[in-house]
Amino acid sequence: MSRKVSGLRAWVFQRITAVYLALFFFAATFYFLGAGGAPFGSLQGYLTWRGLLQNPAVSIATALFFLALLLHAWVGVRDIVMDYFGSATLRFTALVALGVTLWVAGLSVLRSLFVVVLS
Amino acid sequence: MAEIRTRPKFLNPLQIKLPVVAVLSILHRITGVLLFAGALVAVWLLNESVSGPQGYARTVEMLGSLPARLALALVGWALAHHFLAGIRFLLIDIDIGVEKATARSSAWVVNVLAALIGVALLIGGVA
Repeated sequence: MSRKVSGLRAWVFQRITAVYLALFFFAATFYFLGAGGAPFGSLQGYLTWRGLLQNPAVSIATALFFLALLLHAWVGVRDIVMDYFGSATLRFTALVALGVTLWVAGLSVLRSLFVVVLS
Repeated sequence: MAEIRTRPKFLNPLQIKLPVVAVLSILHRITGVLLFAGALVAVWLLNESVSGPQGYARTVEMLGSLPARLALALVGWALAHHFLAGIRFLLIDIDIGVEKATARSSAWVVNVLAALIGVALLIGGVA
């Protein structure tokens, strides 16, 4: 069904995205722990948050994070579907549902980041 | 082939004794599913938080609520376990920790460490 993300390629994607996800997560955690709760409450917090996402490095790194996350999730959940769903029809349906969900999620994040950057 | 119909089946979860590495492995899968759900929620929260001042305020308020803190502790445990077990698998990929004794002790370390992190998040979140 997805020849492009199968076998060795899927295995590699899963590892590479895992490394990026971990790095981003630690960087984000340190940032938020360092910033403390202060700049992020109420209206001032909203502007701070948007300002943060308008930074080109942050918006691209964040977009990459979600893309990596969805790709990583695709490989993982597809393994689960392949393991537990016997019938080809059920498997096909599940994978299509999974794919659509991931694409919608990914595109919605990209759109949000785009809107923030453009405003 | 008549033998197939009489093949023994043993799936009583209360009687099966899983080795610690098997517990780690199935938890890796289960936490993955939890994180998948969490990722979708995170996407939704991100979109909400940049949609406008009201959306942002809603998001901050939601995240501060008690159910959210409990959920965050659960997701935090899931992330800790999935991440640590993942590191263990990556090391095994390059042949580090493949021996049975090492594999079992590393599995114990991951399971316990992740559980401790989960408990810490629970206490920190609720307190």
